[in-house]
Amino acid sequence: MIGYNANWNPVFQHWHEFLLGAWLDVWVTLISFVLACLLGVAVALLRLSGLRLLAWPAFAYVQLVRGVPLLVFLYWVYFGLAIVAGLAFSGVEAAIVALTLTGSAYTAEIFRAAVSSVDRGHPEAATALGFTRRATFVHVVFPQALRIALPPLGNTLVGLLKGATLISAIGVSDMVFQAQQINLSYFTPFEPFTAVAVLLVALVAVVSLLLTGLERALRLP
Amino acid sequence: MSALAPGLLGYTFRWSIVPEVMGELAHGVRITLELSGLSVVFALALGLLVALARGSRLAPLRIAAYVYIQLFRALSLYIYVLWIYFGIAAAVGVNLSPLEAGVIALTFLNSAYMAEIYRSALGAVDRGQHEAAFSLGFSRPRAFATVILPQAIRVAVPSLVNQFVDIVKDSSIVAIVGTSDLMGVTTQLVGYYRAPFELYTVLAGFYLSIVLLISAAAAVLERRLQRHLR
Amino acid sequence: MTAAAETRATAAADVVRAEGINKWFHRGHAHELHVLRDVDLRVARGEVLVVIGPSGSGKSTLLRCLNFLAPPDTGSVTFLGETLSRESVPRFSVGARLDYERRLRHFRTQIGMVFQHFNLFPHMCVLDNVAAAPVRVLGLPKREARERALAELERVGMAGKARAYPSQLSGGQKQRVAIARALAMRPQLMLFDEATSALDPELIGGVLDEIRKLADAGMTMIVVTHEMGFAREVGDRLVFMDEGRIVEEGPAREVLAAPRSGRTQEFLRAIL
Repeated sequence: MIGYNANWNPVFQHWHEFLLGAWLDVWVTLISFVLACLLGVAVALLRLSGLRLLAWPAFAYVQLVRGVPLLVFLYWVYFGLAIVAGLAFSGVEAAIVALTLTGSAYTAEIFRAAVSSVDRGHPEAATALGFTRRATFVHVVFPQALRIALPPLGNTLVGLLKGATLISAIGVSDMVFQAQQINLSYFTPFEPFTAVAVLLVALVAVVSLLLTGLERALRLP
Repeated sequence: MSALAPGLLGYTFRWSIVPEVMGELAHGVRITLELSGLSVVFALALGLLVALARGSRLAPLRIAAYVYIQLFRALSLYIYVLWIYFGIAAAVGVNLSPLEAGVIALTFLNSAYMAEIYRSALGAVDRGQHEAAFSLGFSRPRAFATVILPQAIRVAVPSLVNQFVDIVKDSSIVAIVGTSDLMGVTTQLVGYYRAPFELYTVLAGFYLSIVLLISAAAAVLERRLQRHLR
Repeated sequence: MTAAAETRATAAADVVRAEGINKWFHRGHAHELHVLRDVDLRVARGEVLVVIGPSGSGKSTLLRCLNFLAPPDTGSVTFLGETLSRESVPRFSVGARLDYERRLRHFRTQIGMVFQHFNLFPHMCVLDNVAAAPVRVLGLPKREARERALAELERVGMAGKARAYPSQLSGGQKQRVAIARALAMRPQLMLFDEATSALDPELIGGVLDEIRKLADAGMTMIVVTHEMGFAREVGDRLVFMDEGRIVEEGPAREVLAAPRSGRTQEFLRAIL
């Protein structure tokens, strides 16, 4: 670096705030992920129902949500929806709504594909044995679909974690916000953003490792 | 003749401003497309280099490429933009415009994804094709150019197009540091007109349209390329 | 003629000779597999050598050792008097490696191979499939290569489909194009790796006919196959492989009628 003196002190002084901010990012992501999965399963079931009346709106929903950037959702909910509904969303609430919406487009597609790719023969065998349609789905198809869906769902979780780094744009005090604050207060642009980048890489690495472990644990012999 | 319609909860929608701002929005679209277009072209090229390094016979190149890919795939664009726009610029001493920082960030980040797409596309080409080409006496580079690459490209196109769509959507992030792309222009307009719902809805519509157009074009391209393969 | 002179004369008539071939898969790891064990093989000019054996016996690997698609770990292959051996290439000499690869490619232009799964290039029409190597490897001008390609396609009865794409052909047609593609390089040796194993039964005959025609025309070939009828009619010599070794070899008709080794007898009983 040409004559730049790195000053890491502000970063170290505020390490506590950084970690709290990172923790905020993490649990916003987790909540959104769970909600996105629930919503995704619902949408996937609609699409798989075979009834045009239900399937088509579900399909349109996925196409719509996939075509809009996360940042637009964030602003739309936090500024737009809030004004129309006369409510005041907190940054965190708006973030969770936006992340859930974005995530649901991916999870819906993942679940749909996973259920579709379960071997035809298995539900056939179950029906032949006398299972009801609901029981077949719950006990035969869904468990297998879940295993198939796990890797791409893991990717979605990581994607949401990365998306969560945007929430500082609507004022949430996450780790990115902390970095920006330090930059503003101490005029040291390089260090805090490097710290945040390192934190994010570490978080993603940890999550990825956990996911790989989970996949391996659930793998059938 | 403003279309004043009372909303569900007493909010008066002001859709009439939409036609007024179309011109500026269109200008924003142009910037977004320029930004995305430049980035995707650079990312395609850089990604190819990284993919070649990843598959090279020299271990140090392979490892370096692997680290590169893993590192960039773990970062989010926003952090990367901030890091480049504020951090790197200060450290290296250059003054980057938000747009330049955006292109750089988008390029490097997506080159990692492109590299992975190339890698998996190359892997998807049947081993037998390599065997047939070598058994006929093709050298490695010739076999690659004549037999493997043409097939790999056809496999890679759908994923590459998806990546382009992601680039267009992600480019909205660069507005936070001040570009006048579609997102940036809309934010400015919201500040002026104070109609965030209408304007952000229209914004969503614009992005959606762009995405759908690109996807449709891609579907046509895919069909033409895959014509003889299956 | 003295014994030595006789050996020299026979050796001179050999198109290909493999000596001391050993090959491992996953060498150095826990699940290492010794696929070929001290294999020696000779094929004389104009001879049709048939290779039979259970799956996993190393037949396909042996074929791939001959044109170095799967280079042997030990041993050498001598083709038309020129010897090539992977183990004798010094690891860190760039010059030696480049020389090795150049000689390798030269080998391969003279050896044609037909695969079980055809391996036609899907993005090229039939004509281009056959003409591609003559143009890009031999450096023939396009027009000449295309004429040659058409001639070979004529030979296998596929000239009418010159503009079709592989995905539009049946298995038997694909294999015949594959044969034409190999022949377009005017090889001195043809290797057939279970060329009919992936075909529907009614298409097998057509491909076997093409191979028979080639044999009658004097082509030197090694045919790995399960088709015993073909082996008996067209084969000159036969080799039975099991677990990486050559267990028995001799004139085709003799070995098939009266195998000497117990394992050969077992295998033939199961298959015939």
